[in-house]
Amino acid sequence: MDSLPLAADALTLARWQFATTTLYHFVFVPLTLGLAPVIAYMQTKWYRTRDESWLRLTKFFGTLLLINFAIGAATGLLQEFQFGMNWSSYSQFVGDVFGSTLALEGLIAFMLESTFIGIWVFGWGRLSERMHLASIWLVVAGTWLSTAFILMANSWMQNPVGYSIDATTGQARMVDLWAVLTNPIAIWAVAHTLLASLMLAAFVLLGIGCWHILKGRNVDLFRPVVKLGLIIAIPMTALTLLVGSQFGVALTGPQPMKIAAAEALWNSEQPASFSLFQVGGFSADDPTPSFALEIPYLLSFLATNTFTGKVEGMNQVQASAQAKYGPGNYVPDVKLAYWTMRGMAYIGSLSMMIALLGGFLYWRGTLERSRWFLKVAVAGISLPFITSLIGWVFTETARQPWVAYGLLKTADGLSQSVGSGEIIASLTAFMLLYIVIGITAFVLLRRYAILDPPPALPDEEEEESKSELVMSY
Amino acid sequence: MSLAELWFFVIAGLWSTYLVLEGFDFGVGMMMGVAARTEDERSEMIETIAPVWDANEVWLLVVGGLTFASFPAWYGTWLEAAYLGLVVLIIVLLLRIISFEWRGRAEPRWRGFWSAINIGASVTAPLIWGLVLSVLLAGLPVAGGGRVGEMRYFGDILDFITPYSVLGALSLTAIFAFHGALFLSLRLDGELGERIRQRIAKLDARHLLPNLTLPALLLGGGFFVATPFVAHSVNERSILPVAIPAALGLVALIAAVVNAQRGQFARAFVCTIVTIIGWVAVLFIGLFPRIIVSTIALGDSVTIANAQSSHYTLVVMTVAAVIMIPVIILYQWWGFRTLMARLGHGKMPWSAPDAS
Repeated sequence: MDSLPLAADALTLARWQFATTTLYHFVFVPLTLGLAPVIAYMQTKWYRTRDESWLRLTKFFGTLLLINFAIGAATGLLQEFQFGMNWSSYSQFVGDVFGSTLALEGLIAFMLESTFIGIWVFGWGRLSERMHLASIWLVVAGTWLSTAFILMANSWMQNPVGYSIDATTGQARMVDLWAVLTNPIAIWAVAHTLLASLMLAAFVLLGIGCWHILKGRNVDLFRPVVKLGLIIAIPMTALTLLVGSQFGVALTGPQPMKIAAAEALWNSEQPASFSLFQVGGFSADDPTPSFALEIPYLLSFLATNTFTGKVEGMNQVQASAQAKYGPGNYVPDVKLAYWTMRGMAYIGSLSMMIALLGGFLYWRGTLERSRWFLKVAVAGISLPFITSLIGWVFTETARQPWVAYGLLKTADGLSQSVGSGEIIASLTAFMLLYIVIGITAFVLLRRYAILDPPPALPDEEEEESKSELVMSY
Repeated sequence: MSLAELWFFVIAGLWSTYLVLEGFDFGVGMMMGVAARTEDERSEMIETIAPVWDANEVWLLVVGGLTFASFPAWYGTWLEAAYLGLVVLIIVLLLRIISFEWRGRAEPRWRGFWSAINIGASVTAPLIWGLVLSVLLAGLPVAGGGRVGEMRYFGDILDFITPYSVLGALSLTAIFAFHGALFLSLRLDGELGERIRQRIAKLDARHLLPNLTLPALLLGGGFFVATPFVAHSVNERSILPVAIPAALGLVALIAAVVNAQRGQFARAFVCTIVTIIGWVAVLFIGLFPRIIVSTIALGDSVTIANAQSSHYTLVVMTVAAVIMIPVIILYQWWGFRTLMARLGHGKMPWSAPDAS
């Protein structure tokens, strides 16, 4: 039997496993990131004003956070172990740097958020109010720090810094921790991810609030939720788009191929026009689209911040990559890169319009009567989840063929002894498990999202244990 | 001792921490299967670990991350080799996490289902951990390959099944059952607490079979006795340095059983903590200075020297661990005390004085 196609199969399967399980993980992560500070804000509001509606909302959204946090943490377990299991050569080649960021994440961030979320859940009535409030803010600190370290790890794969290559073993060795922690790509990625997470949480607030208003239930309680959602959503949609665009500019230096592929730009142009929509033009054999809608000068502006800047094309980047790294194809899946980039931008813009429209209706005082908008807002919950996921598809697939850019190709990172049969077994098992978890999570989150919020203060000790059951187990 | 050798023992210490903490969670899960009669009793048992199981499990991510950072070749080779075992492990750990969250929120008719999941996971996970840890000493077909400095695995999952690693799996699981029963005996009052205490206290002819201390004693004792000889024959270690921690672990295990007989459950619990630390210590001392003993040739083993990170990375990790680990222990300890003390039906050895 020829071993080469089999190895290629294992590579494809391992990539599919990594992609599907990571994307699944990231359905839950941004909601935790965005919702935790919102809940901390609600509890602070209650702590300061003693307005019981904020306490009820804290507990209401707290339940959603807990369900969501549990799945995020559980699926995160696989993320860490998968590097060793499926990408053993990668782990051995870059573990010195990459593993360190994961270790720091565990020590500094993940332990903090996991411990304090337990303390927060079980601390109602057992801790002083001040300590209890501090514990939810520590959860926020933990989740945000966690994001920073994980994106430092990912950004090191996008733009390796602070390392040297060991002369005898060829392995990457960390020489400058500070450079790894302050990787410019990481800083943009952290900002973009956190802003997008806040935007996502804002759409969840807005959607759930509008649902309750639509059904005429708990309207007084959810009116401030809608307002809060709009106050966060309007600036966050704009900032996410803006920072995302600047993130692209920052990436042009370390990964010119990614940006060229995202624009389906085969040959360098100066000035370069931006393609809004095109048919064809996605492969080297067919570099000219049969139909294209373009805005002149815009790509130069987006990529270089000047209207006449030069934007490098894939053919030129391919030639210089071959000169630098040897023969091979350094062009990723162009069609996927082009459309995921546009998916992010277009759905992001649509989200911004929904937020602005909501703000306008709220300002006019007609939001609660605009049933069509309330329905749009409920459906709109899905939009930021979609953009988050396609954002990851873009950034990971358009880095190919590299796993660590310029250092190690994805094909060379694979575990040699794990065959395609084993990956088919694990991929099937994980998919089945994730489908079951996904259905139960959706059912539970939906149930608690449309439930009437719990009362602020239970009358009796017995009542307390009941409401606690909702909050805990 | 070099910095990398120090890190080898730091990793051992972190494994001990994880296994001591999650050990009683798994033990409680097993008790839900053997000592509870109704779903309400299972709920009572789950409540005893509800505030802490999640924080306990994070130690696994910490030990995983630090192994990755300090010994990349160990991390890669070991996890790749144990692929299918770890797939099962991750699936049961995931199901267990979900079972904790879902059981209380699901329809009553689903509670039994989620309990069964939790019980099954609580047995399976320690079996796999025991297997993949002790097989490091029993040996695996590993050797250098591919790029210089890279270690490769040349076997499959069946190579994990050796008499010693099976003993490791069974002994760790049996010790966890005992450890968890002791934890519950300290945390639960009433008829349920009494029933659990009977399962570990009455070691006489009539109660021999349902008694939970006996498998722990036999299998754990077997592991402590076997390890120095396995380390000697497989890993060319001299008997004495391995026999000393083995003897200490064995003494702690016997002391745990004796204390449980006398009804001194808090002391017995401290003894099972020492037993678990001893289980890890004897294994790692048996391994030193190798990490994965190679069955191809001893010279092909994954060792501290050939798996370690750069000196710079080890220094960074040392600084981070020296700062963060005491901080983590401090806030987890504080959290344990605050939540356990006032939740409690029983009294923990570390209960706050104002708790009674």
